[in-house]
Amino acid sequence: MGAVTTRLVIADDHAIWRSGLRADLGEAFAVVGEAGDGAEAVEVIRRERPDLALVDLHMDHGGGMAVVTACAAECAIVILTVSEAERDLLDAVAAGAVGYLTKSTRPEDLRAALLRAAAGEPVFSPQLAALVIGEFRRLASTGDDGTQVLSAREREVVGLVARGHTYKAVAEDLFISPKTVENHVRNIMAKLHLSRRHELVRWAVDRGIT
Amino acid sequence: MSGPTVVEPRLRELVGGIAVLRLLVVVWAVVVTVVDARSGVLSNPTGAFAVLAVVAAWTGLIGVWVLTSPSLVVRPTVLAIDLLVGTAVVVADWLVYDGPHPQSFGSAWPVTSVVLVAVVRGWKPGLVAGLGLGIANVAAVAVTDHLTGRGLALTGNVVLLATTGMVAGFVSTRLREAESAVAAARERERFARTLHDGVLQTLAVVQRRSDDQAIVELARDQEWELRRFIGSGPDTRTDLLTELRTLAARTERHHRVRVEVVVIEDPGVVGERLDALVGATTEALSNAVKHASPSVVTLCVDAGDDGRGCLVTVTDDGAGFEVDDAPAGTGLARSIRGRLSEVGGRATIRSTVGRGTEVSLWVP
Repeated sequence: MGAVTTRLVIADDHAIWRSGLRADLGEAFAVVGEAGDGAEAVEVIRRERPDLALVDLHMDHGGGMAVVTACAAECAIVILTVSEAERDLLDAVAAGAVGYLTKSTRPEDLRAALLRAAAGEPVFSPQLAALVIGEFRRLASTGDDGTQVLSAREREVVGLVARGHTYKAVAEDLFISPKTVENHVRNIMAKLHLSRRHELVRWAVDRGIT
Repeated sequence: MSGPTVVEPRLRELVGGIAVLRLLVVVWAVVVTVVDARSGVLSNPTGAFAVLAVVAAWTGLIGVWVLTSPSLVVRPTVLAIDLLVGTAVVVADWLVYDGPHPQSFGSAWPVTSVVLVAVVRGWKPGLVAGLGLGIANVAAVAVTDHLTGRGLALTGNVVLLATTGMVAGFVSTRLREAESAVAAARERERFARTLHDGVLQTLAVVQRRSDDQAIVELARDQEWELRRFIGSGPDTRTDLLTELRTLAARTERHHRVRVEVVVIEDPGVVGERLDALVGATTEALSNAVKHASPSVVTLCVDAGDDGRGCLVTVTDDGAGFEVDDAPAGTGLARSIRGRLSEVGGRATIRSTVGRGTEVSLWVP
């Protein structure tokens, strides 16, 4: 039993929320650290080296974005948010967070999603897929050469996920393995990250802020 | 009748700008009058300087008011007096000169009167003020018998004044509208952030921590209401999303199923096409919940292929069925297809036994 326990760090600026999460997580997870702001979260993650970090998007000292930028390479990070309609959420996910969960996610769904994330599977929810599609459309409409373009297959994958198909269903639909679906998702996020970074750089160059 | 007691900063700036411009115009008019008095084109220099003195005094008074109590300047009575002074200048201009003259001391000041009225009261009063002043000008010329051969130039002058009034009023109104829209949006954003950090967090905690199903549902409903309220700016609110979210919440309450509403793009359907789409979605969702026993149903909203029309997909992870075996005349065939075809839309269905069903509903 101890061997399969997922080691987890929780970062949120509301203590009541952190204790609520602890209660919801149950036995499959061991909360090895808590943090109340972005800087502290980075510190705790570096010290505890958890399998997974559950990080609130909006906190003091950089919030979720700072944690993702600093720690995404060493630890799987799931962003917690109250609203999926925020573009900085997209930045956090594009920068390497494995996914996000809204705070109204039910405990059983939360546990299932976190187990998948700990296993390295991106938590690519329909809402996130929809945000990604919208973002690529927006980027395409800017007509900029530096914008990455999704392949037909990637568009198909992200479209199916947005409509509520699971990875397994997507794989069966497209006659590919779930692993391949995962790879497509990873590539899509990498392209999103590159495009957004490119856009940011171009925005800065256009305004002479380099 | 009293004008608005509080003058917004932008209007104050605009009026202040006009006051400064006027001061320069008065200086310029003094120079012109002095030059004209020396060269002898002025038939009545004393009259000209008297008019100038009145104009200068009034300009100074307005300038002082702008600095001390701007609410006085925007009063209708003050604006009316201002326009009267402008008209007096236009008329006097023709009375003090001896016939046609290359420049005139009274050509510029009245324009600032028109602009002032327009900036404060909007494009219609601006247009009327411009027209009135232009006509007064023509009348003055006619009375002094200088009309012959100047008809076209004077008409041009009238049009110019009227246009100035209209454009100045229009620009000013738009500027102030845009500014208050930005202010409102900022306020809403600040408000939304406060609610996110406080009330929405609390509602989320309640939903997760409470074992009382009634309280959980209450908190969930309130969360929806609040989110809808926050997101309900004049541009973001659409009936389709409101309807689908209400439908989702209702279905979740009555059946043990999760219903997600996902929005890729909302093309903003209205009227009978909206009714048809909502009706068809309701039917498809109800079918899924009744027959497929799914754990999650996803309602996904997007533009149709090539960006035309609106597409709602109803996807469940339930039992699925053989599409060809489905009995004719069931909910899908009659009710869904019927509703959509009435508005030129269509429905397609894909299902795999053991994996689930996806119904696509499209309206043009």
